[in-house]
Amino acid sequence: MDHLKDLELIEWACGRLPPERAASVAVHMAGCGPCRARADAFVWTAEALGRWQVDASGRDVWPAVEAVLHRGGRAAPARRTGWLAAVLRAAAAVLLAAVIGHVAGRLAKPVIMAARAGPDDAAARELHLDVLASESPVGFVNGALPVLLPADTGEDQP
Amino acid sequence: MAAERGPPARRGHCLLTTDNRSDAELLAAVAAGQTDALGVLVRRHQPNALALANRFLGRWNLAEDVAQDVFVRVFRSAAEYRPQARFTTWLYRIVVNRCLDVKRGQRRAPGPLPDGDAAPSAPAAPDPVERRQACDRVRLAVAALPDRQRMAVLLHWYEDLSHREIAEAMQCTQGAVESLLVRGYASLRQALADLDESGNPAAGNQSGER
Repeated sequence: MDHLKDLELIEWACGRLPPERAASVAVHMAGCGPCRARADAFVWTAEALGRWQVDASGRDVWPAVEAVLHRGGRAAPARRTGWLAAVLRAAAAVLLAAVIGHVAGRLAKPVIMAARAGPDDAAARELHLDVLASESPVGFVNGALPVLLPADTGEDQP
Repeated sequence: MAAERGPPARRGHCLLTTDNRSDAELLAAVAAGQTDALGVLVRRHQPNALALANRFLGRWNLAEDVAQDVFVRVFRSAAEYRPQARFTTWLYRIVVNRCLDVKRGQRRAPGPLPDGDAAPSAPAAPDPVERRQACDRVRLAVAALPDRQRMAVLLHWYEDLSHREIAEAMQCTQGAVESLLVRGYASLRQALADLDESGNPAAGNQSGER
């Protein structure tokens, strides 16, 4: 004998089966002890759930909702979902970024040039100490020179 | 025995408004900016939203916060509603999402356990204390379910939604809903098996075999 599925017994216990199907389930259970026992358990559970009543009748959230709306919770306008609007927004963002970058670059250029022109550059070039220049071909800049051989610095050797 | 007892009576819902406009008509008015139409929708559907949120979250203050937020979202999203779908299905989806969001927030910042402020109906048993204890047993058994099983059972039993409607509200497949229901009811069957005929814990903790 094929037994009834739990889901069908749940639907029967909750009174949600169509009348014809409910009747055939009852006929099956009349001759099937295991299915009847499972059905009893689900009916028991459904009855227990039915005892848990909650009373929301004295509660009204409309005043609070209305207050939010009056504070400015307006209905959102219908969104423009067209591609043209998105393209225009992206183009405006790129243009704005370019303008800001250009202006920032022009303002910063004199400062950078002043920082690059170190006081020792003229002396270094005169002594052919290109490695000491701010923008040497090897790429060293002021303050980032590797330690030279002691002989180059004129320090006494032990 | 099953034929003698039969399935329990369903709980009905009461509409608390005399406005005869349909939900779709009211929502169209809301989309046009008529807040009084939203008021009608709120008063018509807030009992269900509040009851569901209270059963899921276990506290009336959280349930009211959720319900308030839900209807504000209804107002803000009114223009996006498509009349092909039932309004209640759309509303339940918003309620479900908000309840699950709140629950996730509670897990990150655990608060006090659910309080027993669910008012029982007029007691049929002579002792209201015993009836309150039975309510508490059910409430705690439901609260012990995993979130999605709990929501599926609540929508199924208390809100009387079909499997398809539950699937739409929970944004999952009908098969997933049926799996949640089978596991949820099985867990509840085990947790509540020792309640006696009056809904009180049976003396001696008898097995649930009936």
